[in-house]
Amino acid sequence: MNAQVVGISVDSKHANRAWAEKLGGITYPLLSDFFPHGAVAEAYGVLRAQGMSERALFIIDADGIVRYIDVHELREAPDEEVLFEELAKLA
Amino acid sequence: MAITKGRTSVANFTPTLKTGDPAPDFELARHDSEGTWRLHDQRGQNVVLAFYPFAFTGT
Repeated sequence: MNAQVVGISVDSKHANRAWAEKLGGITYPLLSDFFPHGAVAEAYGVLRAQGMSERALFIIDADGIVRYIDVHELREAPDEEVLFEELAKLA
Repeated sequence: MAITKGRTSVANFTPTLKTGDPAPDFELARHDSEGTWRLHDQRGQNVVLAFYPFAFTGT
């Protein structure tokens, strides 16, 4: 997949590191939107009133333009096939 | 809370962003090194930002 993938949550770096270890290692960076709390989620419009972020995907192209937005139900994980399809459109 | 996979998007825009907008730049601490990750440094390749509610809550 011709893209850099990152995960973002309001968790601390410590929590993200512990989670990554529990998952057995992951291949992309987990970023801590931790201080100021949720500032990036707020800028992207996905900070919930409870202080956590929505479950949401953004695809940003090589020029820094938002090309795809998907805000998901919190209980539902996005289907990665959709991501592959959207990235293929940018190729 | 069971996490299932699916395609039921709630929205394809947010209160602050829609497709075609410049992505707000940011720089955050990454879990796998002492360094930071900055969006602007990724110019020239596509980027997928995956926001998730909390660690330890499924994928």
